[in-house]
Order: sequence, then structure tokens, then C-alpha cells
Amino acid sequence: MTDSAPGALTLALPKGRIMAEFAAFLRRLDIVPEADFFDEKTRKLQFATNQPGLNLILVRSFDVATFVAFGGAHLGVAGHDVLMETGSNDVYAPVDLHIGKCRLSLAGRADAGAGQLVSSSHVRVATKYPHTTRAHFAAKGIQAETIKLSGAMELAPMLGLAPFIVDLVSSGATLKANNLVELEKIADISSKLIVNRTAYKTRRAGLHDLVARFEEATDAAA
Amino acid sequence: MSFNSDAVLPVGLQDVTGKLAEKRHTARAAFLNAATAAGFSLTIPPLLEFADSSRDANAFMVMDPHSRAPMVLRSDITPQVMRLAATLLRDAPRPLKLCYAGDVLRSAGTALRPERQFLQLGAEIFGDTPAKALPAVLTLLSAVFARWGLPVTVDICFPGWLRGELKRLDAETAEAALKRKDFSALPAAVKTLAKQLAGHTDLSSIPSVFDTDTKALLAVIKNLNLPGLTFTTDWLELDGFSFQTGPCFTIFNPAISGEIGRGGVYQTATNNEHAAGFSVYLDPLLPYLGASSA
Repeated sequence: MTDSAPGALTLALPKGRIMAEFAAFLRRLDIVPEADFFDEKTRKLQFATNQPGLNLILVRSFDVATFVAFGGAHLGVAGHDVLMETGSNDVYAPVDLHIGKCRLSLAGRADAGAGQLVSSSHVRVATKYPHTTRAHFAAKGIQAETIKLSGAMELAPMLGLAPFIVDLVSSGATLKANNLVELEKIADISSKLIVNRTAYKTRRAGLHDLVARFEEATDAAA
Repeated sequence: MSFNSDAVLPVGLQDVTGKLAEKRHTARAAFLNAATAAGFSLTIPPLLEFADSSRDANAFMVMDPHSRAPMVLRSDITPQVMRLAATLLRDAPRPLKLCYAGDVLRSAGTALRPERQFLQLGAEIFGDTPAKALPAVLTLLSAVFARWGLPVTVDICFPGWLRGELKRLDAETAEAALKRKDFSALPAAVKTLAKQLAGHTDLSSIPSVFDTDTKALLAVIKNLNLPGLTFTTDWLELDGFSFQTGPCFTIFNPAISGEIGRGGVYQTATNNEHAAGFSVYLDPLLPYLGASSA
């Protein structure tokens, strides 16, 4: 683990979707990142804050979990979807931040009708979540063959890659716009504060204080 | 994309050469010297055992061309030492103190530790009370890490007790969420228990719910003066512990990702004997060891 200052903590944040909501947390905790942080054009990936013991890094959502699992970052903010998919024993998720709320769902073509839910022992699914998808279907005795995509899953059924997708759904507007229909909810999703296991065990003083402050800020917002 | 697979080793396996090989040898010797100096006797179990004597799903399976029986390459030496204590050394005088150092092989690595071959070092004490055996085990750990020049955090837990509590609360399914410290996913009764235990983060405050023997044992540990070991406690920890009955521990260093060893108090399945011990995996530590002297 590399710290920019001895004892400094690194918090990994996901680019994109939930940053607007998470910015409210930073304000509530009086964490003020350096000015570049909110500049979408910046090439910087690592940011100082007004708190000498805390740095921020901005990475892709799945990479937050990886950085925290390996201890490159001590804390992070990751969706339940990412945690289910990566499933590391070295990542703790002590605080539900109640932001980035949506659901992970199975969807299929709207024109295929309600009877399309599989009754065979095999199904093909396009998804960013192959592990979660296989586990979900395995629990029903169905073998899921997954096609891993990084985005634009909604194209897969229409273009013949796979009849089904597993993806995050919030309003359902994207599904509708692509002639898809939500068939089954797999899990409710929200973002969690995650902590590296080794850091949780060995750096109780500073780190546990920060976790407690996030917990208070969450309770205050609820 | 193709490459010459003859020149490349299987995933998770590597050659150790030069300075790193020397360091591995010196550190292994330092461990064995510390253990034998503390009265632990060296045992060398074999690489292969019959498949039915190991229930580890992460072990390499092979077929014995001689007997045609399925066999496993050992993935953990502790069960072998437990087998020895219950069979060949059943009538040896107690307490029986054994140590070992050998390579183990796993069928799959993890994201954090993709390596599949490890040097496992460890020691076990059979037939002594936990009040004596656990302090002896921790004392040896302190001596070993002192020789290696690596200070460590020893995080104490009590998974056997915690599982009992979950059973009492009819909340055994909460174990998965507890392993992730996902407090929001816990049922109300376990949440209450978690809140009660969360404040006890070191041996200066021992939960009053523990039985007298455990409290006494933890007080003994607190008063051990073991340089290089920092004791913390996490009474909500049970990840990876299955057969242990008494207090257990996991070993960490803030600079090293992932745990570096673990151990604890248990009772042997075959003859219900008190036992305590630990295992440390040396390879991930090598870059962090000081100029270790044997």
C-alpha cells in the first residue's frame, strides 16, 4: 500500500452516476477536495483534500472494489451490484449510504411476451455481471451462458447476441426506449462505503472515526 | 494471440531464484530455529494423501498410478499434523508440541493472492489447556516475527462463541453479511449484538458476556509482554474459521494486503483433545522482511 503521506487514508470514488449524490456527503463531512476534482476535463486521478490525512482517487466503479480489495485505497464507495459481482473477502461494506438506488434486473424483448421467462435448463444473457447472473440462475437449476459487455447491454436482444440482459434499472426508461421489458428483479441496489479488511484491522483510530462519521452523515440524511 | 506455453509456467506458479530464494530459505530457517528453541518438534508430513482424508475443495486431485486411488496434493499442513497427533503420535507424552514448514498447493488462487503454491509455516500444541497453549503459541509468534523484523497486528476473535450466539438468535443466515461487515443487512437481533460488541476493539475491554475461562484467558494474553505484536480484537469476526472452539486470531501488517496468518484454539475431532496453533504463509511477506537472522 502506498500512502502519499505516512498514515494518510485514500478514498476511492467512482466516476459518473453517483458523484452528484456523493458530493452532498463530502459537504456534510466538511471534506473539500482540491478544485480540479469537480472539473470533468481534468486529467488528474488523485486529489488532495482540506484534510491532510485524506486523499481521493477517481476510478471506474468496478475498479473501486479492486483498489480497495488490494489495499491501494483504504476506503471506497461502491454499488451493491459491484460488490456482488466481485465478492472479495477482503472488502468490508460497513455503511449503506442509501444513494445510487436502483435495482439489478433481468430484462427481455417487449415483443416476446410474458411467457418468455425460461423454462429450459439453459439461457443466454448479455451482461456486465456474469458472475451474479450465473449465480442467480444456478439457484434455479438453470445454466446461464453469459456474454460479457461493458455497456449498451440494451442492444444485445435486438441485435441477436442474447435474448436476455441483466443490468441496472432505475426508471426503466432506457429499457422502454430499446423495446425491452423488465422481467425479474434480482437485487435492490444502493451504494455502500467499503473498507479494506487489513486497513480496518490495523488502522482503527483514523479509519474507524471516518467510517463513524459517514454513518452519522447517513443517519442525518435519512 | 499465441505464445510458447512450454516456456511459461501454469497460472499461479513461479520459479524463485537469487536473493528472494535466499531470503525464503533464511526466513524458513529462522522460523524453525525459533520453534525448536521453544520446544516444538519438527514434523514432515508427505505431499500426497488419500482424497478421503481431506475435504478441501481447493486441493489438487491426482490419481495414484500404484493403487488407482484418488489422492490430493496437500493444500494445508494443519490437518496432516492433526492426523499425526491423533494416530502415529497418539500415545506420545502431552503436551505434544509440533512445528512444520512445507509447500502446499491450491487448485485455484484468489484475486488478491493468485499464487497457488505457498510455503506454509506453523506450530500446534496438543493436550494442553487453552490457558497454557494459546499464550505459548502467541509467544512463539512474537519470537518468529521478531527474528523476521516484521511488527504485526494480532486481531483476536471468538468465532465459536459468535456462531453459538447466531444460533441462539436463530440468525445463522446472518453469517454472510457479518463476514462482509454489512451491518445494514443484519437482522435486528444481530444488529443489537453487533452494536454491543463493536466498542470492544482491544483487550482493555473484554465483553462481559464471555464465560469466566475465556475472560481469564484473555486477561493472561493482555498481560503477556510480547514485543512486535499489537493485539486488537474483533468479536464480530468469523471468516474462514470453521472447527475452532476457543479464541482465535488473524495476523495483519498495515503494509501487506490480505491476512498473513491465522490460528486459534480448537478441539481435535478424533479424540476430543484440546489444541491450539497457527499457520503463516511466508511468500507474501518476503519483500517486507528485515535482514532476518537465523
